[in-house]
Amino acid sequence: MKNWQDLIRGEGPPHKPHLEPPKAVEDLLGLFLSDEDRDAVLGDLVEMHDKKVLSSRRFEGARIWYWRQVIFSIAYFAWIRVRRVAMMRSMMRSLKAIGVAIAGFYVAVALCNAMLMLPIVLLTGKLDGITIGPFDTFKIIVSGMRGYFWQSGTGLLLYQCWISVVGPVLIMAVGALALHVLKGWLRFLSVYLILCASAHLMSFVFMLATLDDGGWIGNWLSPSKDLRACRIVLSILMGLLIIFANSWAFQCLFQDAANTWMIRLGRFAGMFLLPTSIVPLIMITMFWSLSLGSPMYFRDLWNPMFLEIYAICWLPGLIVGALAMSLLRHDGRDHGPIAT
Amino acid sequence: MARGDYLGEFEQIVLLAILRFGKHAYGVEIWEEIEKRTGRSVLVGAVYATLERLEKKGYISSFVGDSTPERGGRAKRYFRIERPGEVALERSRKILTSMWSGLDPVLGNR
Repeated sequence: MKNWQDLIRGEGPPHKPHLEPPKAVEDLLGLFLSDEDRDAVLGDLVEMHDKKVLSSRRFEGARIWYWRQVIFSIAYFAWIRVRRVAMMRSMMRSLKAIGVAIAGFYVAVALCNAMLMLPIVLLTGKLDGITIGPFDTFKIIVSGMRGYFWQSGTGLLLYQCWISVVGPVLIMAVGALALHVLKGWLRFLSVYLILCASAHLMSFVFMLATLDDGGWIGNWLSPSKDLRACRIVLSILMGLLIIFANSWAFQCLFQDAANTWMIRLGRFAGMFLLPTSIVPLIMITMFWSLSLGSPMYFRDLWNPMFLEIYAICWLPGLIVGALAMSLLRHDGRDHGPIAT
Repeated sequence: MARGDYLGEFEQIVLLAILRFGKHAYGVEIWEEIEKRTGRSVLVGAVYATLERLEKKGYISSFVGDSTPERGGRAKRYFRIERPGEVALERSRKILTSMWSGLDPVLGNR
């Protein structure tokens, strides 16, 4: 049985003399039309132009009408074309994801820290040395990187472990569970929390892997203290591990069918890499500089160690993420709040 | 209802214009119907931008027919309302009807 598309093939009003509209204008509009629209739009314009000529018997009036239609429609067709280009769609989606992540990051970090600090405050009954707020996380990381982390006793060590590992993992688990249940803005909030906790955990792992003295893992892997290669490998492996673990989790949560798993994983890695790479890069740089109140820190950011972290761990993430988002085509499915 | 589910005024007009032709309509028919019924001049770009947006939302589908001589040998692109489009139109009508109900006396006094 033929479908409706087949039935209308070849259908159309009877042939009538064709009055040519201005060719130059047609060519001008053609520049802004996509291949799939060109025939339909130019054909419609020609047909309407003919009707105007026949109904009013004024060729000049029809020409003016045609010119007006083309000139004022160019912006519409240019916009349609831009929206249809896969690369542009991906870029717009990337920008949206980054914008959403940056806007929500500050709130999410504050929420994360408030949640993490609460048990400590309840247990100790005091806030000595603890600053609740988004800057706190980064202060701790920086103090850890400065080598204070390991010299302050078991209490601080447990505190740091809670802040840097256990808490974020719990938040990620709760957030992942929430994503299954929640919708709308609460779902967005869950995404922010997961992003924040992931970035938090990632920062901690990078810190472990890049401490001047090698940190736990570095010392364990390289007793000879020849740490440079060790740091590089650890940074890359751990960063990728966390990113892909998260990507996989996101993909499982948001996607229900179709496509090869490689494409799905790649796309989600891309979508996750961008917010989790760009946001910490910007925020950590900014917060380190501002919250420590040390002008020296701006200079320190150019320290080879920091450049190493950025260059080895973050920038490839950005590049891979951008490429993944650009190259892997959107399949029109719902990929969750980041992707849509 | 998600934000994207709302129909704008022109989206409603375009959907209704297609609906008036029954199963399917092509650009010129939609265009003429809108101009005839709204009494305003419409740009081809505005019509196609709206059609593209509606198609992206899944409210309409399109198909390219064969080329015809009266259009300079160019093909027509036919549009048809899909079920989600009908549901969206019905929802918009209910909202508007609800908002208009009881306002006749208020407007009549002005």
